[in-house]
Amino acid sequence: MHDAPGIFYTAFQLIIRLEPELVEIVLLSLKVSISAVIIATFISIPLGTVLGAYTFRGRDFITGILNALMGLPPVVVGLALYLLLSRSGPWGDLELLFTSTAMVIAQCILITPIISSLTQQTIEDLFKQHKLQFRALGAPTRLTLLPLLKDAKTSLFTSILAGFGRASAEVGAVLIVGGNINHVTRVMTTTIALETSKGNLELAMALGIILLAISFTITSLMIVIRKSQSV
Amino acid sequence: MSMQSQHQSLPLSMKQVCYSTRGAALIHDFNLEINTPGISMILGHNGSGKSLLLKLLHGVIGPSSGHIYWNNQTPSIHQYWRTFLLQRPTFFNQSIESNIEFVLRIAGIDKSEYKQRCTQALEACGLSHLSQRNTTSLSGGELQKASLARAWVLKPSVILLDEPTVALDPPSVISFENIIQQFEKSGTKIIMTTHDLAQAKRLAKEIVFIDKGEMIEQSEASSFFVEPASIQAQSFISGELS
Repeated sequence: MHDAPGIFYTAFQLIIRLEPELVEIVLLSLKVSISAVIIATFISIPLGTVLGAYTFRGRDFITGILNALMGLPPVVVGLALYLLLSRSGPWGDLELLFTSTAMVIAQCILITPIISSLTQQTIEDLFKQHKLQFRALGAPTRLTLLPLLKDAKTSLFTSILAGFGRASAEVGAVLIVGGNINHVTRVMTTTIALETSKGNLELAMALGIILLAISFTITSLMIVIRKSQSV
Repeated sequence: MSMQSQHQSLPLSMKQVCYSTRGAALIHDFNLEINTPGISMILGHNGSGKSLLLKLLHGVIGPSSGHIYWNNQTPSIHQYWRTFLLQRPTFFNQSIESNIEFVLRIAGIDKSEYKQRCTQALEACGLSHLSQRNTTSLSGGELQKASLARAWVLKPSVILLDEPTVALDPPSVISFENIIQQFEKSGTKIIMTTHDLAQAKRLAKEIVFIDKGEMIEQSEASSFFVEPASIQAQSFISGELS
């Protein structure tokens, strides 16, 4: 029988005291997730914009793939990446397995389809809205992209936040390719899983509270952004 | 008010033009010649094909058969001497000035001319005081004027307007019409659609009356309203055509 109030109390103590182990794990988690989001954003925004604004052969196929990948099981991504990065795998020479770089790659694979698809939908909707006007103005599509992206900036930021939310809550893939090595690849989600299995619920709870706080912050930001957009 | 380009756009000629979509012939055997400057008003009831006709004239859509020539040139949307105002224009969620500059960028105008051209166009449309205002905060009348300024900034020799005042209140309509008349006086050819007889009487030099996608009558405005040649036009003027 666990002493729930006691666990909460100790967890808050760990957070308030800024326990070095806790801080290290949180910082590594943020570093990995933010890196993944930045890389995914640089891939997804141009990809989603092109898919949203242009019609070309293969567009529906790519869109279908992206939509399918949105629901990709993280453990499958982790497994595939593990096979690629393991010593006997094709990218084994890079020696990336069980490093934070591998975790960034895994998260990036998981969130790129999400940000791309949301970007595509946003740009496609805007483009439909302006389509006749663009023709009437004689505007080539390439010249409309930058102003459309400016118009879509709040929606795009929301998409990026959604990607960050998914990345920071990810556990399966990063556990497989990161290995949950102490001081090297231990992030919030993998630590929660490990510490819970060890019965060290105070640290797991402290990390859970921080993870929830991050999630609430992201959700609140998305609501504020949506509201500012509709004013 | 002297922004108009010297591009020789007239005569406008449509020969046996048809436009069909999904098996329906929306414009058929349409012949039209417009040679004279001034305001040519395309008149007809809702659904008669007025907007479609303007889209064909501008090049937004191409005819299914037949030929359209502006001074022997086939229309293309990239001929910036001719501008087209939509009934419901759309804008980027930016200032009026930014929206106007976008058009200058499309047309390949030198950046050094942006400021002067914007100022002149906004002034001509009475929008100087709103140049930095975001288009989302403009009234319907202001949006139509902004659309007109966006068209005027290219110094067009022809402006096509698709029922631009249909959703405006009477003062805004008069204000808009005054601007159109100023443009016409400066030498710009105006081709405009409307189903508003009073507006046609106020503005038109020439009437092109269409019904069910067919050219019914083309005549001087003065004679059209006194003595329409076709039965359809007579019914339309007397309010019987539906």
